[in-house]
Amino acid sequence: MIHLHGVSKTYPPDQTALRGVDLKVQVGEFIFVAGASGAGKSSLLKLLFGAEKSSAGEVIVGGRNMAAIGTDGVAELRRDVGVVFQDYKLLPRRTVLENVAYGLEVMGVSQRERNRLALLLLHAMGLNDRADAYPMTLSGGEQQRVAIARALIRKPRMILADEPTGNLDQEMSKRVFDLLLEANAAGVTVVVATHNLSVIEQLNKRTVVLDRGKIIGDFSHAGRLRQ
Amino acid sequence: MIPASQQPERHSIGLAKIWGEGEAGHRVSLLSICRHIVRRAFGNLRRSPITVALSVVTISIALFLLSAFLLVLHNCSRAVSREGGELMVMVFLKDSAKPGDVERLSAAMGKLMPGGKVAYTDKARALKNFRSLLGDDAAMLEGLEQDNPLPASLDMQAVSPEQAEALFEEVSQRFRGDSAVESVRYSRGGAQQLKKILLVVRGAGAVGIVFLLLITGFIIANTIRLALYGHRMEIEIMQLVGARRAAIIAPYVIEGLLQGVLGALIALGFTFVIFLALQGFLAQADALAAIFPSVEFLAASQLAFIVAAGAVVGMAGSFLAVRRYLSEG
Repeated sequence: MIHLHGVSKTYPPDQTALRGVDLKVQVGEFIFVAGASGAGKSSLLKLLFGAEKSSAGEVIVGGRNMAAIGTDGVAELRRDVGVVFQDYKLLPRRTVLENVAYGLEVMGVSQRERNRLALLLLHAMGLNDRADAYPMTLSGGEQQRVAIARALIRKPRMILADEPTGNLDQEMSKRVFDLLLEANAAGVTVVVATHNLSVIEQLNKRTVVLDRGKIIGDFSHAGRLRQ
Repeated sequence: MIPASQQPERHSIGLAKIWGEGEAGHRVSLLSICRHIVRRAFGNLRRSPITVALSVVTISIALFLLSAFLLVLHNCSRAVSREGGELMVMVFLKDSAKPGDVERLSAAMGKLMPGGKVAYTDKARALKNFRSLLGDDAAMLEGLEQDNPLPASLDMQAVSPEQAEALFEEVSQRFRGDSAVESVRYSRGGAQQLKKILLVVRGAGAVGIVFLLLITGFIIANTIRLALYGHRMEIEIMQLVGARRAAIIAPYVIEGLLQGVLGALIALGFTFVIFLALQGFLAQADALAAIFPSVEFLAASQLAFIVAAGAVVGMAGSFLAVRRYLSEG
């Protein structure tokens, strides 16, 4: 699914975020990218959904060479990739239902169909009573679940989550990760950037550790990370 | 590794089933995409009434300046054209000229300007014209009917100073030595003057319109850019969920088109109100009424030009603003 080879990223004037990163992620894998703030986790994720281009090396996502695809190619890729951020990125002037359906709206799916699916998803997530509410009236955990629902509604091949539980308490974090795990169980590749070691330990998944832009460890499960 | 028995219980939402239900509904046609783009454009207008009103007012003001300028230019051109009476080439005839001479000369002159009309003014008519020209002072011509000193003439009206000059040269060359011709004249000074005025009016008009269009475009592009600032998050999320560049830009271009046309219609309405007020003012101002005996509103082609300018500038302004926003993002 993901193949990074010798990838570096430098922001002007000379701030290096990633240095010679090599990484392979298989289809259907669940992987944590761990590291302290400024380690390069967000930069790595940005390369994966085409928000940034690498300064050197090769980034291949879903068989696409990110250096060679244009803006429409990036748009095509993003239809296969759901992105979740710490700050949710919900549209404040749209209802919860409209926000969830938005992923299908930009693809031109009819309003009736996208609302039907969005309601199904919200109902399954226990948020159906908030369908007509605006994001600002929701708790952080609810907002993040709405953001995940927006990412999931299109059945993505991969989900990239950047500190998805950074602002949430333990209970809400668990509900968010339950959603990500279920998506993974359904075959979706999940990449989560986090600095929260307790979450990593609890889920016991493959973890890549970044330090100052370099991969300093790639552990098949949390037990080895602890060691 | 945490044993499976110790792992917290997971709540399943049945994602696979939901996805299964969605598969069939994801059929997307070009028509539904177009419908979505148009709906988004109207949605944007509805969601940001204040910024939309600001854009429309800006467009209206800019296009009002343009249409007011066109109105002045249009009526100046009409006033200058009315002075076209000076573009008359006149062949004055001797009193001894016979009707046969008039016919011969008229036919020969007619061939010099295909489509042009040669008018014969006899001595009595010339006196009558002169009398009406003098108005209240016509009394001084009393008694001249018996011994009319004014000559009969063959008159040809040119449509431009250039044509009048060429016609005058030709007529002079051919008929000045004719036994029935007294003299050939036309108001060379007046024609040259008219030529200069027309050049200045048209030149200033063209420069003015281009300048105003550029200013209008600049103002509108910046107003729309400002309005787009409120949509920055929506644009960012559209990019994030995989909307194509064209699908992001199109609703804003349609929005710009609607704003441009609405702004143009408001500008024309305002110009018309100003025109009505001006008409009333001119009717009372004798000095101006002599130059502009009647004023006319913009021609249909000029009205269409203003509406088209609004539409094009609105679309181009939006397009450039979104494109710039996307390349910055």
